Amino acid sequence: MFFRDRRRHGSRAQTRRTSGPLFLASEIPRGSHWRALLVGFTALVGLTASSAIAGNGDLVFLGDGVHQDAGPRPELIDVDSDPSDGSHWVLGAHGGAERHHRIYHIGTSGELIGTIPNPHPTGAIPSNDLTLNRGIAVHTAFRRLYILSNIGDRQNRRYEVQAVTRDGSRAGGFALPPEDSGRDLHGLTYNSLENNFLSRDLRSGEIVKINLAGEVTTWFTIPGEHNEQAVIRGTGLTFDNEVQALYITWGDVLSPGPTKIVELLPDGERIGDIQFGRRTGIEMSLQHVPHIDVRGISAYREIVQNAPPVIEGRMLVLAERCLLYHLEQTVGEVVPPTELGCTLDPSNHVLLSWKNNGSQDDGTYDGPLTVIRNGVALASVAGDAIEFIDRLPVEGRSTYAVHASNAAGVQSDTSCACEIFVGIGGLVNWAVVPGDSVFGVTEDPATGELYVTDPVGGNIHQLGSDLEPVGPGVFLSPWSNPGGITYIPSMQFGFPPTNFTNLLAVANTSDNRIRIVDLNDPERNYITTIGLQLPTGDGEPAPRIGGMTFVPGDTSLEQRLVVVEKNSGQIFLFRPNGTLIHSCSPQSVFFERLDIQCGVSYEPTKETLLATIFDGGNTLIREVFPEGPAGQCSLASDLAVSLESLGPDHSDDDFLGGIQHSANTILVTVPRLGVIVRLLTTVADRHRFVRGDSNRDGTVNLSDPIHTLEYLFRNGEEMTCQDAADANDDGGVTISDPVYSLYALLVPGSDPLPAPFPEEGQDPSTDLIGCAAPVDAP
Amino acid sequence: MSSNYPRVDSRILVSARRGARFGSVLLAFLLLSASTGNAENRVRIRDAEGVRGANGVEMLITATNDVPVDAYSLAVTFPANVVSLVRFDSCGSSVEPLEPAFEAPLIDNALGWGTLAVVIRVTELGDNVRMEPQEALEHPRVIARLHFDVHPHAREGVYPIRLVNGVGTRSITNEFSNRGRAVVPVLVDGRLHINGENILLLERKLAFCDASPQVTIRALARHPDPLVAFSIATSYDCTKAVFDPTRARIGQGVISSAAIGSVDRIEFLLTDDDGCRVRTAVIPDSLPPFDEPPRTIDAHTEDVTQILMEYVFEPIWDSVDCAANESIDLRLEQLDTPRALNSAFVVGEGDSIEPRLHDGKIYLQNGGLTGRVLDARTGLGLPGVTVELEPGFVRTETIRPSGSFTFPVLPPGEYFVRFSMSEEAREDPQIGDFHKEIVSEFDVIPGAATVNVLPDVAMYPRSPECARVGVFFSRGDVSGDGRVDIADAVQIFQYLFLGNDSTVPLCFDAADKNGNRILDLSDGIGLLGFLFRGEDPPASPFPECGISSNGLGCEEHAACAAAD
Repeated sequence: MFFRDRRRHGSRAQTRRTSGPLFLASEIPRGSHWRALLVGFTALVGLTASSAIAGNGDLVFLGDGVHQDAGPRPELIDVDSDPSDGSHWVLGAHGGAERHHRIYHIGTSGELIGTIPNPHPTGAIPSNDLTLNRGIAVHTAFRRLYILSNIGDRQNRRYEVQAVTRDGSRAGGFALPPEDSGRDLHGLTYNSLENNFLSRDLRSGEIVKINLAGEVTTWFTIPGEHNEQAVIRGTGLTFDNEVQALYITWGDVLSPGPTKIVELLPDGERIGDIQFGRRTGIEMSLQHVPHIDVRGISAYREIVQNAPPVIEGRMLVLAERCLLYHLEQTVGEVVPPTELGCTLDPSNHVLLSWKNNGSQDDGTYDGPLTVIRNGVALASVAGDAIEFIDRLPVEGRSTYAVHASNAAGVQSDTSCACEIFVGIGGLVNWAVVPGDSVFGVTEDPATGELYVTDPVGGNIHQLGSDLEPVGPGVFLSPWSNPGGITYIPSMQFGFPPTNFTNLLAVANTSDNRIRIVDLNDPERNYITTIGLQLPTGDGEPAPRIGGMTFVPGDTSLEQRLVVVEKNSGQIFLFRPNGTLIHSCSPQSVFFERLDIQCGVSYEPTKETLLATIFDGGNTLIREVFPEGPAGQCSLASDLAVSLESLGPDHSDDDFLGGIQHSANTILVTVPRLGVIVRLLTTVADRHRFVRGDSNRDGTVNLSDPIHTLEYLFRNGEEMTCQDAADANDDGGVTISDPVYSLYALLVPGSDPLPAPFPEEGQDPSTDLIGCAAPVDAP
Repeated sequence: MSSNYPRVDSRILVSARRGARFGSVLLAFLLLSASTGNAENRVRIRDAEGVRGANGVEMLITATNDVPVDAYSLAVTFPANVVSLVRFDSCGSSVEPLEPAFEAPLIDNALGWGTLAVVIRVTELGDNVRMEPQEALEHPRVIARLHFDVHPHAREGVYPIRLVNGVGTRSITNEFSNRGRAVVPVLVDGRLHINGENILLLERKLAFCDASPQVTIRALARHPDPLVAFSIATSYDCTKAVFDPTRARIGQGVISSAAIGSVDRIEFLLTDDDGCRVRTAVIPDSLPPFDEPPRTIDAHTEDVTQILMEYVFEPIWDSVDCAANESIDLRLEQLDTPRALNSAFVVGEGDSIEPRLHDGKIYLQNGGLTGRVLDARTGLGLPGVTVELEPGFVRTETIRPSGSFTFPVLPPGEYFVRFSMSEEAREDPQIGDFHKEIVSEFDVIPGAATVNVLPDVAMYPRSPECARVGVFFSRGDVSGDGRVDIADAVQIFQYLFLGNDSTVPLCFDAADKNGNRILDLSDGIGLLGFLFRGEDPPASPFPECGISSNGLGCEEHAACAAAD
């Protein structure tokens, strides 16, 4: 198969509209990209349709009112376009009822032309024998519609493709082999060059080919993090037969839905036997499609009746609630940067990276790039830059984007944006955990290596601090259903007591027992089993261990195992032999009951516990002191780690698995998404300093507020110790800090500088500014 | 202090309904005042208007505060492809008399943002000077001023000038500082109206029984280019009024003869009584550009507006119920008839431009008028201001110390109110020099007995002498000799390639021909291209003198220093 190479073609200005065929496989304009300009959308309502295609880029919003007199909306699942007449075919989602199963024919202006029946069975079908429609494709040569459906009873599901003519007459079909029934296929699109169909297997992350005999072969694997739990968001795919490129909806597991549509070619990296696809860099923002559930997509051409007529590239997006969005492809003189990513580092800096698509061979632009934060230009960088660090980001949710320019100053459109949560709870990094599931997590503080339980696969996965697999990567758990897990540096067992080091305590998910694994001898599986004395009330379910953490002992503190009991949501403290010391529940705050969830982790520097707490509306990680008044775990500080950065489901009370304190971050598992994430709790650089000593010359005098003013407002030299400049200790460096210093220095009776002052020390406050080591420090 | 004080172009439209609304607002303010007593902490950018290519379009930033303020920082964003921010300071503001100890503007015209930090004063004796808290009803103080240059090719439109927190890589915020404690004010953005299009404004008037025996309707215009001809095609409701062609004034009859010229002037007035249509066409020698917004004011202020024609109508009173105080709404509708003479401005060698139509808005009324005049810097009443109403030339003077004034009874009509400082007051050292006029317009609806309350009118000094930020220079004039010639390009090349002390420019900003803040070969080549190949001229400031707050630096520029 021939695939074009976009980079072979020189840069030249293109108009947005060109007459004649817009894209021939051999002549693709270099500057082609999807600008995601919303042309209009159609609301498909019951058996009637209301439509609006503005044609000039205006947003036409029909609103909810259009369906008031039209009855309930059908459930729709996929869409494909018919190049012979510009119409579109929309497939109902399932055979549960006639209107959810029908095939809707939509005209070029969005009007409903008619409906035809789905050739797959429907009607009075038992709910456990339901036809689940997965995709529709227009076969341009045969002038038929092909419908991919998953049918059969619950134990015997299989895939079939049935064909109909455009008037609804059945026209044959075929079944997929039984060995492919385990796939989770979504979407169907036609590849005219090879005369076969393409679909998307969400289970394996593969794009598969289906020929007319029903044979299924893997074409390539979608690049990016993927496993059965952590799908790339969205189900849509469409193959553009004119440009011979595949488009799929795209959004990582933490985004609420697909955020863009990306173009893929099959010639990406090969790792072992797996051929990965390649992102070409062309992508389309779905910012105008504000729906989490994007179903199908279809690339098509729109003939605009100008004189002479012009053909415009369009993308049709079928979203939930029967809405069809028409997005316009544009051909700009300067292609914007793509694949923009933004991450937070442990110092609370935002790291941006992107791919350049400039006219030079390596993608460099001839003019500067502009970094935009929350809609405001933040910085200008050279045309060859592919990354930028925002050292003073705005706390909360921020949006970043980049646009480029050429030598003549012509600006590109703005890139697809990336969104990031900055501050406490900000996402530092994340990874899909290999295996079937994920629950507990613990860290060996000496090496930074992580151990994560897989309750479904019965394994323990070993990850590095970068969350990538290390060492053997996986070993068998002492339980078939491991849940809570905690690292134990050393502990004595048996009689006479024998000291063991480098251990894991692993609980199962169904009772009160834990087993001790010797990491020095993992082949042994486990050393001993300990039954924790969890109380049981009459008629209450048997106690189960949720999360677990270990409190190392020293001369003043005895070793303890701390667990959260799943049914009661209480914290229990045990001696290593399993005898109960103390239990508690967190105090209510302002009459709001605080429910402990499974996550619990020991914070060694403050000798407190970090616990996952559901306060009725939010799931937060808070710091508790477990050994206060009887039965009460009081809050130990005002630290409240928001989980907002983990997507829209973060407030659900079963969203989190285990948590693990790790330096100035906290590791969190999200079983529902199959991922482990690292969230920021404070900044990394927390060296000692003297409050007010902005210029770090060892004394606090008039030069310090002047240094701060110069830094802030005259582009003075970089501030190495923001904590020192934060004279009023409000967690930020603003004009108020030098003023505070001036008052403290010059005006008798003013408030003194907060600690650490006058002696050097660490910042007692939890904030997101830090203090790097002095330049001359060893 | 300079006697160069402002003219505020705030148009104030007051009607009976509006009067009632202002009364309600005033009442609300009074209630608010009674309940709280304090102003909220608020920073606001005031709207302004500029034309394409204009320099120094000023926007005020005002503030109210209910806490003492020792320092403040401001962070604004603006559309960099429309305007350049050339000055951002507290000059001429309420803070200037306090002699701030620290003031630092930072401007990035490439990215479209500017910040300003002002530390008023903190001394070891504790007599720190600061912005004291305000009462709820006090007028906002001016705390900073923005000056923009509007790009010559900027498109007409309304552009936001925003107060945005987190500007620049230092993430500057809008903040008041009270003894070093941050106070976050409410932020209100401003709008900059960029004008520069061809505009045709057709007036609209209400005629009242016994009060309006005849009604004059005019066509007002704005045309940035000279006109070689223009036509105005309109229709009117001939069931309500009779057009009198003998009293129509067009062309030379209404435009000053000096402007319209006298040779080959051709004027047409075509009427079509059946169709109730009137067409005017004038072909003057040339009508010089008039790039001011049309103003619906009377003929004695012709110098500030461009009148292209004036029609007189006699209302048909039978068409309304005078006993019920009905009025006749008389307006001209623009015609758009295929293959006919429609409204057009002709420029250059015969290029026809269809001007954009603005609707005129006129109200007639009776009633009274009251209001206050304040010193914008202090928020206190400003005594000694003369308040004049036109037409009629009724005048009064503001009463010390509240700055209030009252016109108890006014006959129906359209009025413009003008505020100016009297000579006596100007010479009073305790008052100061507020000598420039402020023009506002207002209306009162007939039948409404309410007294119209004008919003507070604030007067403030404009562009007083302040310490300048940076050195004035003219880009391209590297040698500072007042000329841009080949010697300047040669000096750039000598500096770049010879590198000895004698070739180092005294003003790097002047050598940075393209204004990209990099002095390199492109500047020398660009200067030669401008001089000998007609390529783009140096970036602003050129050819006039100006300053750059974030350029390469300018130690000295002899020509601009001499001109200053």
